[in-house]
Amino acid sequence: MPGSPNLAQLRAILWAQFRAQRNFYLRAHKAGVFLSWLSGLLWYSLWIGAGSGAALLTSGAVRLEILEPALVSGLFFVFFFWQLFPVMLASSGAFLDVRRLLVYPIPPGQLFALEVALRLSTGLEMLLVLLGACVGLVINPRTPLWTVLPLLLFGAFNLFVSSGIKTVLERLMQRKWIREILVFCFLGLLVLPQLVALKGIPKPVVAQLEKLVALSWVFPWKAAGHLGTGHLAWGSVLTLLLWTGAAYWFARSQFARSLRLEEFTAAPTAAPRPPSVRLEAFYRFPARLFADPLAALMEKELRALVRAPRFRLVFLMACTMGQLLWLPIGLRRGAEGGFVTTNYLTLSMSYALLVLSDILLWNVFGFERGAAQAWFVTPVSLRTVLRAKNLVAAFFLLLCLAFVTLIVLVLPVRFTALQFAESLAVLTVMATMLIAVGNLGSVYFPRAVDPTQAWRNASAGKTQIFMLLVYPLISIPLSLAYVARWATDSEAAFFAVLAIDLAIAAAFYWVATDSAIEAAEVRKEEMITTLTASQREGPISAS
Amino acid sequence: MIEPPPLVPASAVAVRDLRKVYGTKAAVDGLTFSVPRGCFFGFLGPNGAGKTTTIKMLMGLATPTSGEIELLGLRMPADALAIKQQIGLVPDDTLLFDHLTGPEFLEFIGRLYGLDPALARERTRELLALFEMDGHDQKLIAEYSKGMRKRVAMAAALIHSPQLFLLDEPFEGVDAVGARLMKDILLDRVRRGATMFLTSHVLEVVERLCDRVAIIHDGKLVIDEPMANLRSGAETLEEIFVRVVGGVPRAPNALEWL
Repeated sequence: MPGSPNLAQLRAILWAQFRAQRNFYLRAHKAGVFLSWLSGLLWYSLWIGAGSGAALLTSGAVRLEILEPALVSGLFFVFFFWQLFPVMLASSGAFLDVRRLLVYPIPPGQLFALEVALRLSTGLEMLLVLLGACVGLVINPRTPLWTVLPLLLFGAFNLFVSSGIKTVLERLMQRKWIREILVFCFLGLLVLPQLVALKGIPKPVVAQLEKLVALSWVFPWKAAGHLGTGHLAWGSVLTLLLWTGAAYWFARSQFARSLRLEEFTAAPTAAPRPPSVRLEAFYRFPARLFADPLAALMEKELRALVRAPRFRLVFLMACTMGQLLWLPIGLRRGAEGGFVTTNYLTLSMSYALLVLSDILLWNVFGFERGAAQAWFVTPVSLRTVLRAKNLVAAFFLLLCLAFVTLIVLVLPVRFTALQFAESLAVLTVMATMLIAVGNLGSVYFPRAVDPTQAWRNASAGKTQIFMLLVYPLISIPLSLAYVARWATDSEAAFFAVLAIDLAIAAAFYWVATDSAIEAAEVRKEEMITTLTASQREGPISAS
Repeated sequence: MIEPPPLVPASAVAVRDLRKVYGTKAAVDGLTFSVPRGCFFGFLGPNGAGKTTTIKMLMGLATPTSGEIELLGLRMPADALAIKQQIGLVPDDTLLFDHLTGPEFLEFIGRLYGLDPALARERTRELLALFEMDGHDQKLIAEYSKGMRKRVAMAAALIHSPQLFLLDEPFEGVDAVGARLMKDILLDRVRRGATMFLTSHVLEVVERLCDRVAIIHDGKLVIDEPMANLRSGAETLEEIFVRVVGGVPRAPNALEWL
């Protein structure tokens, strides 16, 4: 007998996943596979180092009185990293593709166990740190062997919480506009510590926090840290067990709900609402400026992008995330007149351009998937198609500039009309070059993208590596403009060099687009095959 | 070696010694045939025979390794733009833009074919009414059923009133009413002088609609005859098909456990 039916199903799922991955890697570009393996090796080597450090710390290198607060802080970091880092990186790791598995006779409990186990993929780094700490505690002559158990329980607690959060987020992300609001709230949460660091904590909040510190024993990291240093306190045991039980209930109930949701999503959707008159006028605006087929193509592009949840989310992030990066630097004491403060809008927009490039410039046929073959069977030239896509991209970049400018006007940073002109000029040069490179990348490295999935990269890994190489090259002519300003102390010199840069960028756009069109004619079969290909994943997906 | 016959200029589709090689495998191997104007032409073959590769080359989606293609007297790929202007396509449903509604998609395609926007909108309304889809104005194509997707693809193929239609499994997933409607429209177009190039696995449909049939197997043409000739024998089209592609009849009890 091959074993119990449940285990046999589990093995079958893992086997199918292994085969799917193997088949994918056998057909994938070898250099890409090598690079991803290499980067993975470097990253996890770093965390093996961190795990070894944790082992050293808990093996008796420090006194128990020092070890306990260090362990509590370390466990809090583990919790924070395990739960929040995947959200920040827009990654949900590996997960079961429940829609494909639900039709088979697999007990939901088994699916849940597998789903929870897959949460290790988002916290593998933390698992290494926890394992290191456990090894140290085993070696430590002053801590009994059972001290490993609270840490393992803390690991299980994190697995359950991670599973529950992932399921809740996934469900919320399916609702229109909810994902955008969630991201906005999340960004607010991220900016909060930085604002606190700059402006301090208001006194009433400090008073409340002090009360909370007195209650710190209720937190699982405190209980696990206390037990982990050999203090057998039944209060801590109860706290940790209660948290783990609650986390299990949370994960289990959310998973059960997600299974029911799959049934609901199969039901007919509500009658769609007619589009608003203003939105329709916005879509039809290109026809006032351009003739068909360019206007028709731009109109289609506007409709498709605005309706893609993924695009809306990235656009929102592009408009706001730059502030997270630059605001704390720009607002700190003594920063007035510094490089960041005087170039705040330019830096914010450069960051926005980077964020938007992935979805708007580098893989322009990605959202269309198989429908991109229309550009080879309809009587419209690929030059017109690329022009329409590039014009719409330019429009959204300008819209983003308008939003970021409005945000900057509200913020307490210095802002002048000259700075706006500078930002516009720098953005134009950068965008022209990136659009040119994006046209080439879209032809050479196309990738089918699901516009409804908000949490995945829009361009292929190869494109992203290619872009990493391209960015330093693109920044050279722009740097020359800043060098000219510094050397001559003249705005005229700065804008003169930028004008030359723009001419170079325009020439580059012309050549790159011509090359992309020629390459598309040669590579059209490969492009269409890649864009039409369905997901190459097995019963387990990853993002 | 036998020299293939010359291209027939009056044909709607003329293909001469067409080859498409992937690596060392010839997906299409020296195909030569022609389709007269006003003909309803059925292009059949088992899975992997080279049908889709051939239709892709006719559409300009794949470049032939060698050979010549002429559509409506124009050479592909030299006159690709002029050819595309005059053909209507119903390829597999991946050609549809999921994030447009049906009317938006039809208007968009009409405008790509050079129709004035107002005219494209007018034809869109008429086509939606003809295909009984006028109640689905606000629905995105992504939310359409498979049959609805085929209907909208067929409507898009008609919007510029083309002379030649390339139809790849157009009735797949369409209900009986929709299929009947589509067949009636296609037959009407043929009566008005248009040419149909149809691939389908449903041989009964081919038998009823087509006046000429070609069967391709392993990239080579094995039959190219008027339907009347094929019908004159004792065999049905299905029997002819199974015979020429070498299908092995299986005993009903071949799988004892079933």
